[in-house]
Amino acid sequence: MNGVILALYALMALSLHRLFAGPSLYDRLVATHLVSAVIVLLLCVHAVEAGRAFYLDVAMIYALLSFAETIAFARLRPPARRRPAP
Amino acid sequence: MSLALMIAGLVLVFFGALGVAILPDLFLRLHASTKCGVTGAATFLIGLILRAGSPGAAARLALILLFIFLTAPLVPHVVGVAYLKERESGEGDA
Repeated sequence: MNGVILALYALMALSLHRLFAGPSLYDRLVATHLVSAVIVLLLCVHAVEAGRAFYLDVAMIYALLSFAETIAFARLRPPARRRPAP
Repeated sequence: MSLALMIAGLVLVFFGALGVAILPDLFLRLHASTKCGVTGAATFLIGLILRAGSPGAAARLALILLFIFLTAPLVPHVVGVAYLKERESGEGDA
């Protein structure tokens, strides 16, 4: 199980690369969504490892919140920057 | 069996993360992250359900799985529509 947890962290690092490097807001949103999915999986693994079912509630709430966060950022995006007139 | 399912899910999520990291366009990244992310997370969670000790934990994991299936198609749709609108208005820096 430790190997699984390490692999999940490596996958999160791979997606975090796009989160930092993404040229536009939408690339960052895609990366954020994938990172959130990996975090939910990590929380589930830790909960099953610890043998406590109520830790899974944290993962459930995190899945809800990450969904709402991504939708809110995409719908309420900041106004596009105007290019300076040539 | 459960470990095999979890490793299969890890491989799927790996391809999704790899696509998000190296593909050149937003729509290609959406394509990679959506399909690979959802199927990978679902496979991983099914493997974890087999490993869960109590019925309460299994039910919660199944709820998380159902929620991921319900919300996963919405996010790339909304992101793609917003990106298209911004690109058509010609003001985006994308």
